[in-house]
Parts: sequence; C-alpha cells; structure tokens
Amino acid sequence: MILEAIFIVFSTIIFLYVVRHLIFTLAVLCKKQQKKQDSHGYYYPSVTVLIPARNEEKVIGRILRRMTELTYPKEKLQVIVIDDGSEDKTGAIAGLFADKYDFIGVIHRSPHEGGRGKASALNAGLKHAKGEIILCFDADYYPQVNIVEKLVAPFRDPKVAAVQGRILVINEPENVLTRLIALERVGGYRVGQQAREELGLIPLFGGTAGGFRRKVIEELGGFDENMLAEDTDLTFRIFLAGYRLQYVNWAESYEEAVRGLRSYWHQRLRWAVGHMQCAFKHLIPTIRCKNLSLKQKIDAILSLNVYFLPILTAIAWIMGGILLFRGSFMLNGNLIGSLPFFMYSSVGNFAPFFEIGLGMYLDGRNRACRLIPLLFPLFLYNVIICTFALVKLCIYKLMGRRIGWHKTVHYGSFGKKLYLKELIT
Amino acid sequence: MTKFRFEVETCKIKEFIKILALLIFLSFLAFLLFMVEPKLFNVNFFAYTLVFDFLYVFTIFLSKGENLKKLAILLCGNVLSFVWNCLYPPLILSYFHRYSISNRIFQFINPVVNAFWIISMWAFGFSLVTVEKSAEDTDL
Repeated sequence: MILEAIFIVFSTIIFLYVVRHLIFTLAVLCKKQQKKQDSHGYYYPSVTVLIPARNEEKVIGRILRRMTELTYPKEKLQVIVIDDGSEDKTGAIAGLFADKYDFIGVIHRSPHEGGRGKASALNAGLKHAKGEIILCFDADYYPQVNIVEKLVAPFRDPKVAAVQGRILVINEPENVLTRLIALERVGGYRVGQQAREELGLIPLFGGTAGGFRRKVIEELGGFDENMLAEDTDLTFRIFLAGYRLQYVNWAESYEEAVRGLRSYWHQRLRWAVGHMQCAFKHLIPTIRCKNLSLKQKIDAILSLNVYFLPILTAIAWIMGGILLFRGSFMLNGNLIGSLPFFMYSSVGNFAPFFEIGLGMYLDGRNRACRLIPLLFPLFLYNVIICTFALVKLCIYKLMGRRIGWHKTVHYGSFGKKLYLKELIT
Repeated sequence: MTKFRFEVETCKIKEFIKILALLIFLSFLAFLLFMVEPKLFNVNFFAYTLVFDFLYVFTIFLSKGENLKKLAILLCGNVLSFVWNCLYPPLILSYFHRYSISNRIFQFINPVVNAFWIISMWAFGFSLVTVEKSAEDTDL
C-alpha cells in the first residue's frame, strides 16, 4: 500500500512536469510570433562585456575578433577578458587584442589565483568593470554583431535586472551528439525560455549570452563562488530580490557544443550538481518569498527540481515494475490505474520532445525533427548523470568538502552550414 | 477585393468539408471493422492511439500547414498504431509463452516500446509540415 502511494505521488509529479511542458509548447505555438525589434528602439548605456577564459587558446581569438566587429558604439563599450590562470596562449592572444584595441582589456590571474570556477573569474572581472550594464560571454561563443543593442534594450525598464539571449550550436553538423545537443538547445531556448517570458514566469539566466545591471549585482554581493551553477543561483537571487529577468529571443549567440560522451558527462554533471545546490539553497526562500506570484512560485519550484526528475522517473518506473510483478490492483490490467504508468513511460521526463519539435518547426528546420527519437538514449544517459550528481553532492556535503569540476574543452570548430570560415581568418 | 476574400473563404469552406467528409468516412470504416472483429480493438490500441492523437492534435494541428496533409499523417499514425497493436503483442506473448517467460515483462516494457513509435511518428509528422529554411537565413 505504501509503495502504491509513493508510486501515485511520483506519477503525479511527473505528470505535472508533462503538463508544464505542454503548456509551454501551447503558449509559444498559439502566441503570434513577435517581429524582431528594429534599431530605432535601442538605447546606448555604457556596457562592459566580461569574457572569462581558462585555456581557451583555440577560441579566444574568434570571440575577440567578433567583439571588434560589434556595431555598438565603441566609446560606450568595454571588453574585459579574464585570463583565469591559463597555461596556454590564451593570455597572450588576448594581450595582442588589448594592445591593438583601446576598449579591450585583459586581467591576468596567476595559476594560483585562477581555476576556482567561473563565478570567481567573473567577480574578478566585476572589480574592473565600468559599464552600467554587464554582459557575459563564454570564450567559445560567437554572437551576432548587433547583440549588445538587442540585449541592453530591455534595461530601459527599471524593473529588469538581467537579460538572457538565445543560444544556438555552431558545430551542429559535427556528429550525432552535437546535433542532439542542438535539438536540446532549440527546445530549451526557443520554446522553454520563450514560454516562460510570455507567461510571466521565471526565465533562467544561462551565465552567458546574457547580462545584468551592475548596480543589482553589487547590491546582491556578486556571484556566489561556492555554487557550480552561478547563473541559476543569480537568477533566483534576482527574482527573490523583487527584480525581473527578460528573455530576448532575437539576440542570438552561437556556442560550441561538446563533441564526445565523456565531455557531455562532465558538463552535465557540473550542471546537475550546480542545479541541485541551487535547489537546496533556494527552495525554502522561494516558497516563502512575497515578491513572487503563485504561478512564478510553482514554475520556480519545478525549475529548481528539474535535475531530480530523471532520477524520480527511473525510480518510479522501477517501482511500477515491482508493483506490476506483485500483481498490484492498480496495474493489473486496469486501464485507468495504468495510465500514469503509460504516461511517464511514454513521455516522462522525455516530455520536452514536443517542445523541441515545436522549436524546430518555428526555426523552419524540418529534417532535424527526425532525430528526436534519438534523444531517448540521451535521456537514459542523463538519468545516470543526475543520479551520480546527487550521490556526489550528498557525499561531498557530508564530508564538508568543496566539489570539484572539469572544464569543458573547446576546439574552435565551426559548422559547415554557417559559412563562417572567412570570418575567422 | 471583396470577390477575392469571398473566393478565399469559399476555398477554406471547401477544404473543411473535404476533411469532414474524410473523417466521417474513416470513422465509418473503423466502426465497420469494430462490428466485424471487436477483438482487434484492444486496450493497448486505444491507450496508445489516444496518447498519440492527443499530442498530435494539440501540437501539429495547431501549427501552420496544409490541413489535408496533417490529417493524412494523423491517419498514418492511427493505422500504424492499429497494425502495431494487432501484430506486436500476440507475437511477443506467444514467444514469451513458448519460453515460459512471464507476461508481466511484456506489460513492463510495452509502454517504452510504444513510446518509440509514438515519438518517431510524431517527429516525422512534424518534419513533414515544416518548411525548411536555407542557411542564408541565419542572422549573424
């Protein structure tokens, strides 16, 4: 009986997530697509772009060249590269750009100072930032030339404390994994983030291709260096403080996706551990917060716990199997009782597949839709990653140790489809 | 201008009538099949077709594109579900019976196996109603 009750609770939670994603999909599908904002609506505050980089010699030149091509007035722009204790030529390449362009600067951190995580590097950069608005880009990113104008436009609203642009995958045609990551990105940004924006929920700051007001980050005390997902942590601190974060879908930036399962493991493990840390830190304050509406609270709670869902799905599925073999009244040929079982076995945490399909449809990319069934093995891989992350987090918490992380290696590879080779010569 | 609008609306009504006629015809065929052989319409078929149709109607049917094409894909999905659920369970169960494997294993893996055709057919359907953009459309 207890097992059956737990099974029903788990099924209900999973069903909630399925409904949530269906609402996101319908919200974006039924909403008239907004036209891209034209340049008459822009305004030009002083902006600082922070680029934390550690051993990024293969990609740092590409993003710095892009910074020189930005259409934003250079007298209002400051670019700071935080060379976070690199052991390769990252610092030297950034130094060359800094010598040539006045608006580019480099902070060299020694190997002893550096390597403590992105949050620490960003805090170091913040000390030298002069701009009213701070934007962040990872070294492997390749933004649009007018991305700064697009990202700063929402800051005219004093309630907006942070913005997030859309992320696409630059090396998508490289292999099956990069194609699948591109699918995930489309679902997550084009539909997930967009829907949160449309519905007035909690869009998430991704830590890159986005930005925030310097005044607000100073008020909040900078980035929390103990968090592996400093971006999610900042999102919740911003909302809990009563500010707003806006998602800007037409501000696009390309990233280099990981190209092997090993790198995927390390990257997702970092995200999962970081997100779980945020869940433990912000769950209670979110429930108690008076600055959030009920729908925002529900969305925030679901977002915070999203990395627990693969584990929950796996446990519920196994539990369903046990109940079935024990001949439970609920799962013994009774269709109504079996529906939750069907539901999460058929869609479960894999529910965002309809979000991804819609994203592909809105982007006009029909052929890529056919890869969607291949996301299922990736979901199973994520179940293992999230379970490992939870175990790791618990062990490190009990031992009182700081959690380590693996840096994602970037190769400076471009997608053939984008015809960008001439831009990086 | 008024004539043009009238022609457009007449076209839409004609298309709607065609779809309605097709739906009535298909429902009639399904009803006949049910009368002749009710055993073909099992619980599996109904449950999974329901999941597929629900997802399809609430996503693909709301997107832009030719309605007849969408309906044709929906029909293909339903036929696939019917054929799959007529052939797959008896085959697997007879195999399990031959090697004395519990039927419960079938019940346990069945939703996951069905998820593959539901998601594949849904994704394939979406890919057919979408218009591919060229690489030149990329805004950098």
